[in-house]
Amino acid sequence: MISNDNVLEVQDLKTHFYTSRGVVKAVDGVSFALKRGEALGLVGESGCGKSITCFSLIRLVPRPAGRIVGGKVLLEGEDLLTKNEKEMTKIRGKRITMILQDPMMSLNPVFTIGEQITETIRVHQKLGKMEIWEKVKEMLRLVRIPSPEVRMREYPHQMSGGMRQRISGAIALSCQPSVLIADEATTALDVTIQAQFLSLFKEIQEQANLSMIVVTHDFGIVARACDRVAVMYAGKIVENAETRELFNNPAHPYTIALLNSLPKMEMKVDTLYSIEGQPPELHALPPGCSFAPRCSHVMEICQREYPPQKEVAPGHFARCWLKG
Amino acid sequence: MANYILKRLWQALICLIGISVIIFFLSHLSGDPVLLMASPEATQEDIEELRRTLGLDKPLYVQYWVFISGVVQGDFGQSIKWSKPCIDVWLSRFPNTLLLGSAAMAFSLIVGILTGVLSAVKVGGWFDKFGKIFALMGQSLPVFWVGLMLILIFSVNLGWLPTSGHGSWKHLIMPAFTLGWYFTAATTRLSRSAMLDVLDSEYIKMARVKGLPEYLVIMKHAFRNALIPIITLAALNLIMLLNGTVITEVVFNWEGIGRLVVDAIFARDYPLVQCCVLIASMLFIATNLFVDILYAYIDPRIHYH
Amino acid sequence: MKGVKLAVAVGVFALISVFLVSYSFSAETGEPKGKFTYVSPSGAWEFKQIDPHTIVGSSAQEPSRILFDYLLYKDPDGQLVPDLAEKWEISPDGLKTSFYLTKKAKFWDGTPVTAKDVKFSIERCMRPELKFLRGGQLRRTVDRVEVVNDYHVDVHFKQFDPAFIDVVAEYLAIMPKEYTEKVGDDGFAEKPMGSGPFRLVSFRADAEVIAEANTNHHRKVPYIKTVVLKTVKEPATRLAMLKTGEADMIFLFPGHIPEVQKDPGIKLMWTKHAFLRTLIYYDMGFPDEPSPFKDKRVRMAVSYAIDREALSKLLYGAVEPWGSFLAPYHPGYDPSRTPDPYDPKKAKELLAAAGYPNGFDTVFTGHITEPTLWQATVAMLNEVGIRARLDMPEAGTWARYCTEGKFRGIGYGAGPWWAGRGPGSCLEAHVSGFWAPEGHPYPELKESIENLNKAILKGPEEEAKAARAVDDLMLEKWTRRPLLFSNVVFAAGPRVESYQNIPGQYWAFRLEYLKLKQK
Repeated sequence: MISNDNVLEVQDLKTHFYTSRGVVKAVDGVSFALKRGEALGLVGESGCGKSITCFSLIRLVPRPAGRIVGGKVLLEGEDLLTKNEKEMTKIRGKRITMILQDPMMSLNPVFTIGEQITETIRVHQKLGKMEIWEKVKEMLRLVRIPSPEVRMREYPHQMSGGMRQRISGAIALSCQPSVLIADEATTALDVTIQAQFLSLFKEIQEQANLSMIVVTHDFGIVARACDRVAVMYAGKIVENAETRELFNNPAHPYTIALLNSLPKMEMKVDTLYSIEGQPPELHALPPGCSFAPRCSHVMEICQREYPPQKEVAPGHFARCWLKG
Repeated sequence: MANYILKRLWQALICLIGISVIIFFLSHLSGDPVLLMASPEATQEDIEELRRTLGLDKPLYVQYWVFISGVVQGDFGQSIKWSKPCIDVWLSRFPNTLLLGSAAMAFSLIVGILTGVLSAVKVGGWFDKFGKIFALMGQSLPVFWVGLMLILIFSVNLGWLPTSGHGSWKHLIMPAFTLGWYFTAATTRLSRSAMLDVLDSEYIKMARVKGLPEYLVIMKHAFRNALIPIITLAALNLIMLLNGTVITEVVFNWEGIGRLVVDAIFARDYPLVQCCVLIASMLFIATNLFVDILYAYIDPRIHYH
Repeated sequence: MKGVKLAVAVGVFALISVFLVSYSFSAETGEPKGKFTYVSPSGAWEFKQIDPHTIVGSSAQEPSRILFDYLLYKDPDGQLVPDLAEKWEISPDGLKTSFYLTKKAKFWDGTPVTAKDVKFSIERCMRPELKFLRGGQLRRTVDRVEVVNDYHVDVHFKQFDPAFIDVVAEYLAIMPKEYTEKVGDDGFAEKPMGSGPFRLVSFRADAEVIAEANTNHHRKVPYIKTVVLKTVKEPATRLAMLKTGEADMIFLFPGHIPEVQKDPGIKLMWTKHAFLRTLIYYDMGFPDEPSPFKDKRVRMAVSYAIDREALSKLLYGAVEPWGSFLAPYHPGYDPSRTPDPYDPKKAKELLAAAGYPNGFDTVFTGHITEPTLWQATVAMLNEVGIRARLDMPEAGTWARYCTEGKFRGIGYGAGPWWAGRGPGSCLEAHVSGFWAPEGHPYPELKESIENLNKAILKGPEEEAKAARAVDDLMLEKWTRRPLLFSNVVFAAGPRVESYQNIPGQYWAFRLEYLKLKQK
């Protein structure tokens, strides 16, 4: 059930990296809103800034090179960018949580999984030992791990990749967060396991009215799991629409090109369609629209000025000079 | 696990036999002890008689057999120079080396790990820079120079500490520091790089994402993983420490094994050299085995069949 | 009340004065006081514990010299004087030496030292198992030891042994017969018994010996109460110990002499003429092999090429140039035998005359403990065209070279370091035996040494003449050339007032004569 209030509002978020080659504007004025109960997909090529955006939300940008230099991140009305570190540790893992991409390495190999779930609960909630124990078992059952009492005492290397990701999920859900970010959470899983994982989380999301940000480069996942989708290119969101609307009426040439490069079963082609050119170097962005060098509809103004956001249809936003 | 231990013990035995053969033949190649023991007026026949008394006239393989059958029964032979069973001589000196080695090891572990971890956590900061210089100095300054400088500063000039010998805890400070500094360097560098490696891992990112306070991330999650390579090094270092204390022992007049072995080599005291080297090998193998078993407890990923 | 207070005051005053008076008295009567620490590379037994007869290497004798008495000892001029033997006589044919013992000497447990103890000690020293040690060499010359009465011992010889008196003075510690037989060798090693000026308190092999003054000593009750002999092998550490006061006297490494000279609190003490270093021409021991050194001109060239004064300065006086095979304390020593001068021009001329105008290649075998000295020597040789390569094998390899006869070219004469002995044994040691592997004495040389041995029996004048004759012959024709005499240097801290050392004795002390400054 998607309500109308925004659980998360990101306004003009900017995160820059200061390197020896220059300033890399990894997140360059990103704005979006996430409603309660909504699953927002964040898609784009590798290096477009999706992951950094997510880490910026919880202020875990790699220091000292990276810095959040501007914008607002309003979680249920509170601006996270104004909080100090101590306050942030109370928010991470409790109100906003994340599942990372690599199931193999995101769990600490030397602690049991029971311990790894337990410590999250211990840090954020004051519960007695028995209560925590019960909670852990409940979480494991929630993510459909069989025989939780046995599994709790096992180590990550004794489980399969799919199981490990579900455990990461259990950890993320253990404190009833408002927002769950899945950063390429299924990328490293087998296709069949992916499907299982997605359906499980869809179910959990509906039951708990959980808001999710699903970061992915796979439109198939977007189609299955997301209510809304935002497309990122070179640090900016170039298009933002409901999933069905995006698939049916893509507005930005980049989105169109991306959708075209998805191979379709019915088509018989000799070569697959791919977008010409390379994504730009983020420390040396061209003036004007970042996609201009690769755009087949490029105009003179595109090379001069970056297009502002326009509502091309109700609830459907794009940043392209083609749309006026 | 029991099978694993048995297998390792068997391998250790074979290893030791091989070592004993090598030591035996190498030390006998080095020269003749009889000449060093005889007085200058001895005639050739006197020397031959001495050789016979010591059993050094028999063919090498016979001597080896005598040696190895003794070892099996716990008899490491009689020291030519000390006229006492080698094992007694070794036992009288070993506790001193153990004391010195342990103190140096404790110093190097504590300082090394602390410095390394702190350097890694505040990478690039002034502590990191200081740590690197400290480590570099420890590895490049010659041990005897460090020892003598310490004596010069703290004994001769300041008069705070005794120059040498042993007796009180004050006697232990400078030798332990001298010996330990080199290993502190190695431990610092390893701790730092192990920590940096670990701090880069996904599970550390995850720990932060979970909202764990930074001290927990470092001390619990990161350190526990970095400990694995540090412990290996520490165990190997301990054996190197125990056997490589010669220079420190000479400078500080510490009555330990290192000096004992070197003097024995110069005096061509084969039995004592063999005894010391063989025991050192045993200790090394035992420590290795111990560390491997310890691993299984520290790192759950390792499973021995 | 007043009376009581007065009484107390008088009493205290009386006590204090009694104490002061007795304190000053004890200083005057010479009761042993104070602790003295001496540090050397081997101040404690390295080898077989305490048994003085089994010691190899004179360095390990340091403790023995203070714990045991000997029949004779040497005074600061190097002359033999009585210790346990009040008087001694050598028979005219040299086949009997008589010792007349003092009646005052007692072992630490109070039993008197008598002839049976002397006989026991000499025979113990000559045990078959100890054949390869110095005392054991006595077996070749000593026939039997006879106890004439409780205080008179006669030693009968198969042939005259000129070295015997020196062995007695330096090496033959007198051990108690009954005690040693009772506790056995091992028991003795745990708890020794001697009659020396100090009695053993404790020891740790190769580390430390602690001894206390023996107040009943027949010859000299020491000035100092406690003596600590420590072994520290590293020379810099020894110096540090001296500077901090942890040591009162150390065996000094010559390289540290300038450092010590700068420090007003430390004084240098020299033992002169400890051992003679010679140049050895090894090739002469191989008559069938051709060699440049067979020509006397080449041998002299080598000697002229070396600047002895410079070497002496290099070691700060620890060596001095020398020109004779005899030392100043030997009868027959002639100071007019000056060392060969430094004359590289003449050296080159001699080489050219001998047929080597462009020099030749050879090897110089030096001793590993003195690299500076031999490096300098080799450099000087190379200057005149004698292209010597420096070889410095360590002790074990050196010993092997000796037995295998591997030495060639030029070398450094290794001794004898028992130079404190009489001329007979000294000169003979340069000529034959273990430490003279190149030795094939010429018949005339052999004869003249035999004359010397016979002359010793005829009295000091004859001895001096004969010694001079041997010296002449050796300087003329022998395979060696005198190079430098070594002086041994000790450094003493401010507490040491006076100390007597004995010329020629490398390690020996008379610590009972050592005085510490009273504070």
